[in-house]
Amino acid sequence: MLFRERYEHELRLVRGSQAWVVAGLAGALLLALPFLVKGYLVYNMTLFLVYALVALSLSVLVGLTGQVSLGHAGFLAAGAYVFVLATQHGLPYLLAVLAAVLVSAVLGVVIGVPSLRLEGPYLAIATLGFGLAVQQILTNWRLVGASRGTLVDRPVILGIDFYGDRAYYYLVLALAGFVTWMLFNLERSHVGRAFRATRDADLAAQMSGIGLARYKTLAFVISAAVAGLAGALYGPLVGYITPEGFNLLLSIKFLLMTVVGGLGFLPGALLGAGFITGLDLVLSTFRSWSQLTFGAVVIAVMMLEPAGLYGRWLKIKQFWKSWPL
Amino acid sequence: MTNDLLALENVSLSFRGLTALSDVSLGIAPGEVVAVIGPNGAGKTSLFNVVCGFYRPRSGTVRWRGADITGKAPHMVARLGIGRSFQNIELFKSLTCLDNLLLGRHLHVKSNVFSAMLSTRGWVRDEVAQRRRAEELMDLLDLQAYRDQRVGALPYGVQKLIEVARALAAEPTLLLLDEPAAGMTVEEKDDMMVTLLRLRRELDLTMLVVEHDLRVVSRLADRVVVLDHGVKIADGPPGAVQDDPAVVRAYLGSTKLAPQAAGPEVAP
Repeated sequence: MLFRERYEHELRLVRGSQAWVVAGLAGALLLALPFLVKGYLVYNMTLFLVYALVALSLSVLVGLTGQVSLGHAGFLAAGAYVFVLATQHGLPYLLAVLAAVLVSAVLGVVIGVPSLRLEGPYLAIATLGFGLAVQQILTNWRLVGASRGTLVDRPVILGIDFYGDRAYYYLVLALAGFVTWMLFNLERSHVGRAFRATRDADLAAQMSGIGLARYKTLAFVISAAVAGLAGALYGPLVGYITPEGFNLLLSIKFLLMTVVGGLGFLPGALLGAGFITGLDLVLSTFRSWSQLTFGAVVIAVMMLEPAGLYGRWLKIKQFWKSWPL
Repeated sequence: MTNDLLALENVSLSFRGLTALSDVSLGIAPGEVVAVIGPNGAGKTSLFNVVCGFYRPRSGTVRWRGADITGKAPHMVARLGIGRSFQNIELFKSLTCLDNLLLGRHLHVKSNVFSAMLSTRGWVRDEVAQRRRAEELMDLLDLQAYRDQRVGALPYGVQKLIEVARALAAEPTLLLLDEPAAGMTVEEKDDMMVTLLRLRRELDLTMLVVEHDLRVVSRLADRVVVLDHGVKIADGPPGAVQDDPAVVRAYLGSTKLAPQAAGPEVAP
């Protein structure tokens, strides 16, 4: 049993030797895997990192504040296209990424503020409309290739070429890792608490001095910004983006990741992103049966563990804590 | 009075045709404990909601230290130093007792989002300071046993106490308690009353309390205000108000009942 002697100990993201082992193993695996697996798997692992970012962003919005979004592919698209435009105008890589993040954040305000009065299914429909609108706008916008799409180059930063799958993987890992760390910090901070408060009891949240409009919009902005960053990383990864690629199905897939992983827990979003990306990869060899199997597996997971993968992990941890008593 | 902490001046509130409050005036001096009583639907909770800014009165003003705060948003009212517990438990159910109290301290947090996300030293210092105060409050109210438990799963009486604790965590100047002992067993009620009396003594609180139980009211309050159908019908020390004919009429009706022998009914 772990004894906490200082309040600072409780603020640590990783607490106890067991957690350090898990975090250490995961870190080592992420760092070492590109050298252990085949080339195309490195591509898929990068895709996992990008999807994990979107799942995390959605987890902040849906899991913490309870605002459902069915339009996150829209933010991903916004990030990807702003990145392309920025690089076409000669912006250096990191500034182009920053532009993608900022524009997506602004879109977050644009969607978040009118959505303040919407809840549950109504908000889901509004965000769904946003996703479709983004797709529609991009399809008709000549500047970015319209429906034919556009090529996206991988960057060269300070003379280092990130063209190779492995090199690009580490670039994405660094950026995604940093942002993941920031989001985990956010979750355990007073802001994360306030997000949950608006979800659980909005009257009491207001009497605790929490402005509902401010925090609900803030959640939208943070979520959109992170999804935008994911978009900026996604474009160069796939190399060629079309409006068609950012469809409703993708938005639903992101939502699926957060729910299967465990709603309300950020680590759950990581597990969910891993699970869904992995499942996609495995099923891509099945061809005609892949859709059906995908659906069946997801239904089975949700039936066996409604709290998601992370919820199951918490139960297992609880069990072993008191074992063998 | 000008030195009142909180003053309501001729406040009227109505929903469509229904009058919830009609021309209610009320002042609370610093350090005073005022109880609001009245039959169901008398407008007690509406009164609280007007003070907190959840409802905007049709006419009249709410003053805080002399300044007009009518219609201010609830989270701004909270920041002025007005804390509140709710009649139907409004806890953050999926969070722990500690998190609930920390949320009570939310308005004392000075760090911003960025320092929180980057976990700066300033944020850590701020957070630790809030935790220290929350722990002190848990010690004061004997809540340490429930520290890391989700409040949704705790017994009713404990939840009610955590509500009071969360309101106190903000260190309010004025505490509004909406039926802190409602639905409790006699023992829980006694505990709550002792706690409130102790808090009043130790924290020098000004309180406005809605409560039905006259036994609780007479021990706790300096003054009792009686509402009936949105109208203030009495205002004075507990003893005097209890014997007021208008109050008796509001609670029992105007028809004089013949004194009946309350013998046990004999089943055939």
